[in-house]
Amino acid sequence: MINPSMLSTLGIVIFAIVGAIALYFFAMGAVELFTKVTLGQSTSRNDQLGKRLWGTINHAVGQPRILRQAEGGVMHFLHFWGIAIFALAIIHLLFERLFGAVLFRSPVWYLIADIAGLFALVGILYSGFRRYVQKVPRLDTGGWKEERLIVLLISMITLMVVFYFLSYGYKIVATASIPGEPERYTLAFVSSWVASWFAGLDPATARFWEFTFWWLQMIMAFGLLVSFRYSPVIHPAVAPLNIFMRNLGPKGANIESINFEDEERETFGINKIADFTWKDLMDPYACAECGRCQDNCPAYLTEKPLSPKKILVKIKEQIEETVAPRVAMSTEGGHISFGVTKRAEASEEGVEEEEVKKLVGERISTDEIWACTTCRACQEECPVFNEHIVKVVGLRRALVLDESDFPGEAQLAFTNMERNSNPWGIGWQTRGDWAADLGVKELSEDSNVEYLYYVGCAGSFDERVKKVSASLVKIFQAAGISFGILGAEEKCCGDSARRLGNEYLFQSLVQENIENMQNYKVKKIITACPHCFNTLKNEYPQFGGNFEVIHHTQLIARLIQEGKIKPGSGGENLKVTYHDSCYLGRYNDEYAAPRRILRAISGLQIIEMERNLNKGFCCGAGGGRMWLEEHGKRINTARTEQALAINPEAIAVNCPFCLTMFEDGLKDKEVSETIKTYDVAELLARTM
Amino acid sequence: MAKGILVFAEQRDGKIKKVTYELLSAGKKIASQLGEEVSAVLVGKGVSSLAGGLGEYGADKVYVIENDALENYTTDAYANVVADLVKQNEPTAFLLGCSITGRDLAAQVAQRLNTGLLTDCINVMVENGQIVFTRPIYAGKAIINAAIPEARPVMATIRPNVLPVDEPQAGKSAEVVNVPPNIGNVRITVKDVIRQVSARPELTEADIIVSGGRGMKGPENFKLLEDLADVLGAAVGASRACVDAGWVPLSIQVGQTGKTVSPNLYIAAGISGAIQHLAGMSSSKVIVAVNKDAEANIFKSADFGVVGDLFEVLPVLTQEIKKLKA
Amino acid sequence: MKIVALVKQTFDSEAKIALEGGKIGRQGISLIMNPYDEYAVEEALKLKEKNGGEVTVVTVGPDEATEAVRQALAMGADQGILVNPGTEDIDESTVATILAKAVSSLEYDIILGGFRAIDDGSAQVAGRVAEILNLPVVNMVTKLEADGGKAVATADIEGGSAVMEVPLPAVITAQKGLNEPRYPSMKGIMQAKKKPLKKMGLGDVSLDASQVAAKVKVLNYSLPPARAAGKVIPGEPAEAAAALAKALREEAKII
Repeated sequence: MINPSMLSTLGIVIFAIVGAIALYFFAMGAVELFTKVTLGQSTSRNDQLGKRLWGTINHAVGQPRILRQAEGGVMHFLHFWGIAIFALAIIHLLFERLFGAVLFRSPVWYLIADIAGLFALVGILYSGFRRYVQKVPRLDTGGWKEERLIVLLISMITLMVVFYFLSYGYKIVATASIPGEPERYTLAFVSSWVASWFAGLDPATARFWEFTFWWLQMIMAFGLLVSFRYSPVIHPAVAPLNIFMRNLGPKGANIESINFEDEERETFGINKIADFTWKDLMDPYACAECGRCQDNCPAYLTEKPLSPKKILVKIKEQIEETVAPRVAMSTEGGHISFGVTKRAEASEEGVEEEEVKKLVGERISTDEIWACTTCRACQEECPVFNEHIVKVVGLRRALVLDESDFPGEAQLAFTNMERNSNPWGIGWQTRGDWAADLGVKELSEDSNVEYLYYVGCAGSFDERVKKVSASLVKIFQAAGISFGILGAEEKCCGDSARRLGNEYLFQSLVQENIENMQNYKVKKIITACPHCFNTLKNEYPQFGGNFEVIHHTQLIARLIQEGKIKPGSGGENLKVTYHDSCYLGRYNDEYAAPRRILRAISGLQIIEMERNLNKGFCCGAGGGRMWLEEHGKRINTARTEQALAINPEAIAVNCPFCLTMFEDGLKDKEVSETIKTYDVAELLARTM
Repeated sequence: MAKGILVFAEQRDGKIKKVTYELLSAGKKIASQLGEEVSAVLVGKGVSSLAGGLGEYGADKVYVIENDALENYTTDAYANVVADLVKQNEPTAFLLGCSITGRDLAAQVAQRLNTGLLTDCINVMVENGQIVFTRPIYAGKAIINAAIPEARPVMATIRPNVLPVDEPQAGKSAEVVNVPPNIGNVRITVKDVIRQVSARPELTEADIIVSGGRGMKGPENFKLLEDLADVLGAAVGASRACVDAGWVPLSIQVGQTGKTVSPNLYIAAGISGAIQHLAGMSSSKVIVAVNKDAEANIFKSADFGVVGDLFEVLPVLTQEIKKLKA
Repeated sequence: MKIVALVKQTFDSEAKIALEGGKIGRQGISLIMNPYDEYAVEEALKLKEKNGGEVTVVTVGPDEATEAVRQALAMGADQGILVNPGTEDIDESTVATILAKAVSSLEYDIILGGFRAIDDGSAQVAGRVAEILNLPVVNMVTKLEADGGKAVATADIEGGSAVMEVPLPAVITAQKGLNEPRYPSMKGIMQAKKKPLKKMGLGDVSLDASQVAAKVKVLNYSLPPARAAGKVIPGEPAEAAAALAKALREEAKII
């Protein structure tokens, strides 16, 4: 006997045709996406497949990053799992429709399917609620023009689930008298509840409505497949791939070097979309525009023109306008809308990029590009592992290396670094003078030491930071560490130059430093600045400089643990808050060592700011911003206010830039007389 | 045969500039050692009345070159008449003040006479019968003694306000010689002259800068700095904190992200001396710090420091300088 | 428009000056293009961008001064000429004579230079070049417009500034404030390696050593006394202020 749940032959034919059309559109969408993404330059993301797979599963199944934010997290968790399992329920029913095969008869399956449907429904409606009723700021809800596609998608998913339940309700009624059938649905509480509305309907009528709603539900499902080609919201399809393709290298080594020996090369930065890597071009498609990045971006939160999300959106706009053959997006307001483009007749390969807005300066303004502190808060939050900072650095490279169009303050810093190997332009010969009376060896006198203490520019030249250097010397000497400095032979590490886009200058500084260090057979390096630390540790290996690099707080924590340093008592009670620097914390995952030192000093009470650890808020000086003028509300002022909110008596830092920024912030707030900023090492040294 | 020391008597708006007296005193000193005379050349329009007074300061003879075309300085006209005079008189040495005018004129005349020129000298003396000049180079980081052994005349410009002026000898007059000018070919037309009335000099070009920091406490107190600046003919600067606070415009910010300046004198009032500020002004020749915090970094870079309340220090400083300048 | 920019390589302004064998040591000194000449090069490039034409950079100095010319080429100048006088015994008249000779073999509508160099600061080379080439000169220019046979320049004068008009060709010297020199792009740096840079000796500009003998002779070099540690003037504020005014007058001789 033919299973009454099966489609007729005509039905199967129609289904096959509709399905084929939907799949065609879906496949074309995939091909087009592939075309867009592969416009980018090559980059390798096929190592460590096991780790990639495991990470993808972890972040797809558990969604730890998404769940960091409770409301949005629950919303996403519900509709992600709801729709995923619900899709299986649709396929399950499809087997019955096409082959008369019922794969699962256990009532538990129907319970799961109903729960999934309910989750999907609640989740998707909640997402609409958040977007249109709560208007959660980070979602940047736009006007009808921008939102109509999203409304359409939410409606289609909602209707798909509703039609499913209606179809099943009628199915239960239609099969009520068939032996064995009702037992399948005993736990399917939603479908059964819907069926109760139609109880007593004659089976044939019920069958008719069952099939009608099934068709409607399938049309919605196919519609969603078709929409893949036209919708910019293809996040669900690309996100898992993007997580799989995430950068597994050290977080501090994401910026790729440029080969300046390549004489063929004419441009060095990202001037057009084809200058991005394919991964950079994939990122915007994985992006769901959830705005978690901008919610943590110090530039955005202090009302600078930059939002990490908008950078990705604008890159997508640029790709679409340049290559998308059929659909253009409105570029107004950074939102995306739907419409047939005048480029509809353009070839599949796309149009010449010259015809559209310039990527650098027009699509993405220079103010946006210069506002980034490279603090990595955006990437730390991004649930799909998008990489914003390499893009910003690439765009800066275009402005610096190709266009030579950048803030005058940056030019001064560059020139100073070129001529005197430090951003202030103080005579390079005086770099070692701070140590003159401290009994510190220079490697040119004696290179037979265990550690090179790489002092850095601030520690060598800034009167305030020289005190930190002196504290470190005191600690190292007390612990009997064998160390020396390079003195006048030390050059700026290049962190700021690289992040300001001047890769050429960066590499010349790196080469000089590596040459000097190798000359003295340096193996281990202590740095007193997390920027030097990150650059020496993670970026110097790109140029053959492989050293064991340790941040001073790491070394000191170890020395305390080994009993080589005995912190004394400060003799006073001091309520201290510790500020995580971006480059020690987020870039190098060192949150514990500085806190261990503080805890070892008796008399210190450590209190934590609301934004701490990997959510720590940048001081405003990273990414070379130390050398640029900041207009409007200052990031350091914002961070100082966050610290003052918990009433500390002192602020502890691990970075000379943070030190300067907090001292300035405290002066702005007119509390610098009472609240002081110290490097962690200073707090220790003064007890010894 | 070259003989005598010739001095360029610089005047503006009918007044002899002080550097002229400094030149005459220096000229007299070396002339007496060489057993020669000192003469001066005075160029302009209606300036002959000034000639006699130069005698009191040591000029034995004053050449006056007057013409309507010489009312305002132009390189061509002045170079033509002065070079002609020098050629005719063949002095041993021709000295000018190292002002904008003196420097401009000296280069042209030196080349026309195919001789050497030492600029911006801070001392002049006679050693072994040879006139020796002292001049700083590398922004004062090195000093040379130099001479022009063969070419004549020996030419030099002398930095104003460095050499002493001898007491004028009242009643001593100079022989005044009127020289008919040959203006020659003047290729440059002056279209407009913008005199600085009370406006202070441009920050980056100023010889003296008076700069305020957070310690100024508010925009209304910048009047103290402006008063001091006016007495000194100085520009007013500020640290970033003042700009941030909106007290003063960004255009006067000195420091890493503002203007880089290197005046002869930088007076920092209420500025703590963060490296970002020092980077913009540490090449100033003389730095004065006024700050009530004796531990402030700025004292490490300062040549002269006053630890005290700037609201008390600045007004007195202004008054005292006014007295000295009077 | 044919534009010539005269440049000089100098020590970096932060360079630590030391004496070696009685002369200024060159050991470990960062060498840069004289900042005032950078303004001149920048202005030359601006004129070229506005009026078309080409920019030739000319310098006199040792072979290492090539770096300064390369920098100008990287900024966008079209060709460079370096004349190595082959002796260190040179003065401003020597340099001006060589520059003028090198320039006279070129076509030029305008010659730009820094009004002074930051090393010897003598502020006379460009003026001498003008004199040798029989051209008018406007020094210390802070604003320049040049086209069609004349230039209008705003220049510092005693007690203010003046707007001057001068027929071309002329020599114009740059004062701080004229412009903000550009930072060479990578493309500029790469192209500069391929741009023509002629290295010449005295003979190549038809001069011999006797024609360029220095007229100035340096008798000796010395360093000023090391900067004394800052002096904190003691006393009550009013008292200290008065003492400060006196010290500035008598000790520092600065007011």
